Amino acid sequence: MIDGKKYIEIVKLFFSFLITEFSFNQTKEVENGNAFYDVEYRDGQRAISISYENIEDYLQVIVFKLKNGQLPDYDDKTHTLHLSELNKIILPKINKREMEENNVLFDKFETKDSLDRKLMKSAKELRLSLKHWDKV
Amino acid sequence: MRVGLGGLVSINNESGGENIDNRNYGGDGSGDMMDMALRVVDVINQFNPIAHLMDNVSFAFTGSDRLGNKMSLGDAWMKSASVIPIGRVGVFGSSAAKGVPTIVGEGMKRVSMEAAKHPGSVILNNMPKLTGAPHQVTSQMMTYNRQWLLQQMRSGRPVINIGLDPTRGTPGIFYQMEQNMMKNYLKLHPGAF
Repeated sequence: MIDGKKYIEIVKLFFSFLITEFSFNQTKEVENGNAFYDVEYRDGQRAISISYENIEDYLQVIVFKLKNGQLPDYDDKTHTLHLSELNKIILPKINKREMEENNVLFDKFETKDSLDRKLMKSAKELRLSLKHWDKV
Repeated sequence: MRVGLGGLVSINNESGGENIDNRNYGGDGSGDMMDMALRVVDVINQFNPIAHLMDNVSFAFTGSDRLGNKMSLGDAWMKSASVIPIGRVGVFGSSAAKGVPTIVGEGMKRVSMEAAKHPGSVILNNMPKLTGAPHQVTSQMMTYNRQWLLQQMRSGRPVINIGLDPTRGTPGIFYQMEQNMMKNYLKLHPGAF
């Protein structure tokens, strides 16, 4: 179990590349008691949600392709792209060298527990997906 | 064993059995006929305003419900709201108007996105910050969720159930509980929502 403030702090740290490298803006922070947390970023075309159900230890990283600036239906698979689905498309196209270079960028961050490690892994994968967005 | 108003059955048993959310249901956990019957009665009593009233009376004197389960002030307040009609209005304020839907389903992100399509709709987005060991927090959260859903079903407003999230790997325990509650409530109150 993690406190909401701590979760948001870690997400902002690990996913800071969204702002610095891909010009996203952070648009939302949700803390629903200690049950659910969500941090959202947008860049005009896309919204990225990094949400966590605390009790169920369920982390979701989703890239939404916006429809006229609005979020699509959650169940619209063409516009609601879960990171696991993006990985299936992108990761096979990435060579070992690029993977290692990507990993190096996150070496400065420390991970203390399994949620940190999951967030770190997601951050690395998301960065690769965004770098190769043209292939999606 | 005491048999009270409205067919209410309760047992005070210090070494009693606990149900899935670690709440004493009055049985001894042995799994025998009486124990199973008490489990069923306990489920029914979750929908029973008289049981809620008795819990609140017990809470006023002991800080626990009639089965010895610790209750917070928030629990007592929620139970009061189910007994006193004006409490319902107080709990849900202006959104208690008929026609404004309550939305339930698997996955909080998914439910909140569905809610965005129904202006004024009600979702469980006001969870308190609960404290204690992880299993205690889970138990309290389950209780809060159950009481919240019961209030929603009793409010008479439509309940939109968006169902399971097909992309989710592991089933959500809170939604499983909600599904069971809705199924049982509709058995007791056919066509309620």
